[in-house]
Amino acid sequence: MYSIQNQSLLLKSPALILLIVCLSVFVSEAVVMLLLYSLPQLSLVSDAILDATLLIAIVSPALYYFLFKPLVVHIREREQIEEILHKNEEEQFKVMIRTSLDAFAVTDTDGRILQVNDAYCRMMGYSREELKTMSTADIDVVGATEEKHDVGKLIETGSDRYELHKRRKDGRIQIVEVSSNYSKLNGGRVYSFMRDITERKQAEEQRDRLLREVEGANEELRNFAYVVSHDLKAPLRAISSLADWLATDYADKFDDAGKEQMRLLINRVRRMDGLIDGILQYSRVGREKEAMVRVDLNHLVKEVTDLLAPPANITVTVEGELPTVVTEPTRIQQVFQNLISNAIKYMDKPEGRIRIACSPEGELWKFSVSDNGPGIREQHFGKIFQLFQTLAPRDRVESSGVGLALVKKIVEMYGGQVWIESTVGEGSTFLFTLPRATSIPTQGANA
Amino acid sequence: MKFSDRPILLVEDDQVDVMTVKRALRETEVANPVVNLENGEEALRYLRDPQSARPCLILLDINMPVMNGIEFLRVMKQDARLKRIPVVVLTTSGEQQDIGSSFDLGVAGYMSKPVDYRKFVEVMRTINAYWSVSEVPL
Repeated sequence: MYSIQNQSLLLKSPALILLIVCLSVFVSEAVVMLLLYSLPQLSLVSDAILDATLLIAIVSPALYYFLFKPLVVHIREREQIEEILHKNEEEQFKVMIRTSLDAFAVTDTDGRILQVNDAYCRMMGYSREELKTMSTADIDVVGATEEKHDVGKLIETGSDRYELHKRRKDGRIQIVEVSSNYSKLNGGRVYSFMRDITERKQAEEQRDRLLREVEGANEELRNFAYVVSHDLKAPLRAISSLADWLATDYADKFDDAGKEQMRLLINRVRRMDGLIDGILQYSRVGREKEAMVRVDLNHLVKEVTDLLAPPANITVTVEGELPTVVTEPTRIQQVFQNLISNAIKYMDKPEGRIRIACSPEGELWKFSVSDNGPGIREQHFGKIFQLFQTLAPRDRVESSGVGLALVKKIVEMYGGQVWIESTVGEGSTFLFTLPRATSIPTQGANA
Repeated sequence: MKFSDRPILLVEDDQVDVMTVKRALRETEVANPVVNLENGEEALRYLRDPQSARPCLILLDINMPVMNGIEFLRVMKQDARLKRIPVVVLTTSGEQQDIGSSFDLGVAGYMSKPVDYRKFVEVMRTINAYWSVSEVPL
């Protein structure tokens, strides 16, 4: 009954059946087409389709012409495009290698040079023809670098980077950074890009040498401070002692002029002692590191003032609260001690007033030490911060000329600045800044 | 000094410094004899000589030729018979490095030689006062 039904269907509607067959062929072709686009571009698949198409052409010419021929055309076209692209790519690579600033060479595993670009010829000073008769052993300076280039290792890992010393045709040695790749095609080929790093290497060596020199100079400076402290002070002490004994033991033999000369001699020895101490103090800043700790400047300034014991006619006041800073205690003490002691030492008014204040200014604390002393003329503003510079004759005001230079060195070491504002006859204000980043404001400070 | 009959060993190479110490000791009425030797090596030779009188105190300079003060301390503090003799460093150097090394090697004191002779006398007076009161191992 089933076959009768089938037979009758075939007889009844041949058009419908043809339609279904066509449809299914189209659908299957579409699927094949889709597969073709989505599958990886394997030549095996393409070849299989071409073979299948040939078979179909034999079996059914109609089907071939209407359904499979477009597919064949498509495959052929794509193959052609790929070939063109491939050639193009090869051409691109050739152009890239030719125009490369880096040198390029192809060698075999024995180091024979097979191919080079212009940059390589320029780098080595040989012509292309000369190079093609040479091998890397003729050029490489063996044992110049610790890093040994090993072909075996390159073959194993596939790629390698190393430095080589190469000898140019004119004998000059060139330091070269090499990046190599190994391909086992054609019996093994090494493809290498090379860059001349001679200048960089020389610059590095020069920098290292300069660094060593600077370190040496620093070391010398450290020793210098030590030598100054001992070798200059020992004879100075001897002069001091001998002068003292002369003045004591032969007191009855000296007249007034002689005694005055002895007094001056001993006084100058003390001054020189002070200068040497100043040099030592100055050289210790930044050399002898102290632990950074929290220092409450309210306490510190009070301690410094008590230590300096200003005469009764001079008052030292702190305006408002001072912050707590994280710093080396000895250094910050030296800053305040020198500024306050200067203000006391040079005070020329019957009622001396010294004021210390601090205010935040952006990322910084701005400190000020003001006095109503003699003031300083503007032309001396720069000079006073230089080592051993004093404005008053040393016989009138004994000073080593180190204090403000020390203040400047310390403040600048912490990344701050120091300067002066002054009116002659009315007084001076010394100002300095310190970064707030390393400071912690105390309660009540106007932070 | 606790024992006025025992000598003070002064290890010092500078002639005027030796004069200074001797004079300052005289001024502070220290009666102990002073034995002066010019460097660490000579001092060790003296200390190890059974004929020598054992000092009650060693005053030691740091910067000396042949064997300096620190090198002397290194050897002396290894020697069981010598290591208990109190040593006071008397030097020009105020370098933290020297101060640290000296105390690491067990010195009893470290004095900077003042340039001013009067202050030097005060330093000697202080040393004498301390070692008159302090107990000393025999």
